[in-house]
Amino acid sequence: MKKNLLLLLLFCGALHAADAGRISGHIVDAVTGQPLPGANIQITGSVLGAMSDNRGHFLILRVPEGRHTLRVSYIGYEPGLLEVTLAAADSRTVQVRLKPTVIPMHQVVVTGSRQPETLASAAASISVMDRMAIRRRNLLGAAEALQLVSGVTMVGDYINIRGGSGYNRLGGSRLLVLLDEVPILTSDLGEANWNIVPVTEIERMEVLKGAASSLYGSGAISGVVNMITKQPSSELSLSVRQASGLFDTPSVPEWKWTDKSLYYHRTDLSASKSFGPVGVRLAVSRHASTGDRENGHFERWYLTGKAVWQLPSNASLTLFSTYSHEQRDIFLQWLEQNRALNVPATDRGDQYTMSGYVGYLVYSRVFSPKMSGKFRLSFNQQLVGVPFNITSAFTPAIGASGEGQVSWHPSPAHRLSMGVDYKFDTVESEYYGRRNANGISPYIQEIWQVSNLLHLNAGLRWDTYQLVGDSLEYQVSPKIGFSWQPAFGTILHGSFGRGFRAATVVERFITAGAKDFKAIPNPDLEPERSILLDVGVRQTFDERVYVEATYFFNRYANLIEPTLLASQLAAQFVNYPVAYIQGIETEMRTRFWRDRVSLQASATWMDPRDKQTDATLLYRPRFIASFSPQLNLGRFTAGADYRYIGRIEKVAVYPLDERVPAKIWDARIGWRLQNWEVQLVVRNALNYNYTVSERVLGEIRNFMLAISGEI
Amino acid sequence: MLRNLLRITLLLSLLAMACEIDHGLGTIDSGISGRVIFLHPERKPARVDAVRVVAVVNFPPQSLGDLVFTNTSINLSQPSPSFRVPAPLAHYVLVGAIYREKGKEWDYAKILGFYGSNPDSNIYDIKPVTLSKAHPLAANIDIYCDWAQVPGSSR
Repeated sequence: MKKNLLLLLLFCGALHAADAGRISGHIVDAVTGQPLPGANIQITGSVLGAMSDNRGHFLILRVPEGRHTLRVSYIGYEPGLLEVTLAAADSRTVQVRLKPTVIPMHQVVVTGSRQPETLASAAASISVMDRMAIRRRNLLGAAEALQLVSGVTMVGDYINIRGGSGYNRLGGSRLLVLLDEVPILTSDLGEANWNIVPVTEIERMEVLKGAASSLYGSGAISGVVNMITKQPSSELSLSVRQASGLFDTPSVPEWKWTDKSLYYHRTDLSASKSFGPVGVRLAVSRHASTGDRENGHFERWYLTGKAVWQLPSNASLTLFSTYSHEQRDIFLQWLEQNRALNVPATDRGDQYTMSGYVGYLVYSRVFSPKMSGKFRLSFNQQLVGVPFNITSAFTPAIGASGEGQVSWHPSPAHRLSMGVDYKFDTVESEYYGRRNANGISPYIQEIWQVSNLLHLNAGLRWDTYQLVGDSLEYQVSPKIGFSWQPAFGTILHGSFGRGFRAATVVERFITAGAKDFKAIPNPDLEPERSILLDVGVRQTFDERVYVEATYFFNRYANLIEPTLLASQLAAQFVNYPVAYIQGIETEMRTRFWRDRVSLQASATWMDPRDKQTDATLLYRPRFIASFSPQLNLGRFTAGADYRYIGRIEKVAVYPLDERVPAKIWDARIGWRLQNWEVQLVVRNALNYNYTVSERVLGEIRNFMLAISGEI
Repeated sequence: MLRNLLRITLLLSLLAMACEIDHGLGTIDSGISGRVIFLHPERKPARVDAVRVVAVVNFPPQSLGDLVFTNTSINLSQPSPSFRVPAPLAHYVLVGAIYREKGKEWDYAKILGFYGSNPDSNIYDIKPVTLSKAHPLAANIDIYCDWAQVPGSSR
């Protein structure tokens, strides 16, 4: 096996041209002249490419002699196409000026097919939340950023893509979370730790909507979120952000529970520099809050590092490491609706500790302009919050994984990627004992560019998963898709695929009792499965208006949900036979008044239904919408975000409780001076009261002052 | 440009003033209140550590959704502690008190007493309670609880 791998590497290494040259460059905004970090640069018809650093610089090595087309793309900008002719061992430096646009289709994404593709040619529904959108809002966490993506909402701590997740306390996540394409769901609960990396270190978040197990295996049942972190910069770069906020008094006088000031602070610091061929990025963050309620206090620390070593043989080695630690009080549910910011006396002082570490090592190599490879080792150790005061009964869940992937472009029309994933999990708790599991999964994906107007793609993945001492489970996940441009400005796309999620150790084996609830194990749980059909149209009008509409149909079988036993306040995870979620998602973007005003709006209608009872599924709204106007007047900016989440029709625990739709306005004004910006943000500006999960109120109005800058 | 900006600001201000601000959830005005009257307190089993008041929409309850209950135990050191359960407008077929044993979970089969019964008078009628818009509050819902009826009570 080792010998074969060595031979393959030697063979591929011999393929690259001996006298290859290099292309470097600088990418800036054509209007403001500001550098554009995180732009994607690709030499068309090859696997060669790069991403611009913090200063907008990029470098592509080992470019063979000849005439090349450089395609530069960045979300919110028109793509730049550049012809570059290179002699043998030549070096060229280019300057690229990109013009702003409302059309997102030129953005390059990697999550939809495990290789770079533009949104225009993507068969699946993908949305992107980029660093500019995150920075513009001074967001404090990654989960906050996702709530502004069309079709995405949050119920409790659970991100829902088109209603796929519901609210599944102690149950596993129905969307797969990746950090730089590395899966980071915990090995015991199968939950996402959204605070594993500071939001200021995220370059962009790609949200793939719908089943995607043909790409990523277990967990990608209703979608995938890929958090892509920033690259080290070529020159010294220091970034700082200080955000401080003050909570307002509740709009209901009876809810005021303290005379003390309630506030929060967040500090983010990062430094980046290249030392010869090695680029390094370090970041440290602290986020602490008194909370707006009793038992609302928390303190969280992050430490993140990334090093990229450009090796001489057109290869690179990336080492990434992130650690977060959090101690927080537990607000499980309110004392009563008339004292919605208080907890029952028995809960006062309850705390838990969360900590997580994710590290990976990736070796990437371009063997030739037509072939590249990527080999990864990763380690994920998480002790995530359990909603009861029993964290001490758990040891950190450990997941180790490895992956090898080869991308091959045998001809300009075909792009192939294939690889193998291996994963090992080990978890231990007094509630389910010690459990080990492992799985191996080969996969293959193909994008066929039939013509400039038609792209087809197909993929297949075979997953095996075995809990030690248990039977072997396997799943075959296929997918097919297309993207077709029948007329200028119109793109039709569609995809069909399967997803699955193996039951987590906690769902199958937990035996625990705490507070009012206890959990009963169900070792016979079957994996959840889903089928996705997604068909849509992307339409642009005069490069100023972009409209997107998608019909989606998800069929879920064996959904793992808790069932509650009224006689003893106990819960057990069981398989629900069949459920459907179908709906329509729309999005519109436009820009006017000489590009000073931009508007973005989205609306999603859903029908989440249990086939057996024909009842609405638990914890799913039927309608969600968002609206984001933004005004840019030179150095002054102003903006707002409105989110509407329809009333949850059905809940499991307290259905008699009053429930209202969520209507949340966030507003902001800012002033920019060179690399510094001061911003005043009002979150929940109308002080609207709603529940994020049963008997847990959403955050009350707060005022935040943020100062951020780069040196 | 400044003139346009002022126009937009004025328009938005007028719009904001014209809107009635909806604050969503507020306090709940409906509820059930009364006293839990403990009979034979000397026979309270030592293993009982908490008592709750529950109101039940369907009896026997089919799911947790059929129940409304106090989040905290009522005070067991008093002979007739008062209680108040904030409860949505509904028809409650039974309002009662249940008990929990030390180290165990709440079990809704462990009923200590219910509204309408008075063991001292040998009355065991179950009286429903209806909360409506016209009558959102039900007061004087007294629940008699006889410790002597609890299996294994002290003698």
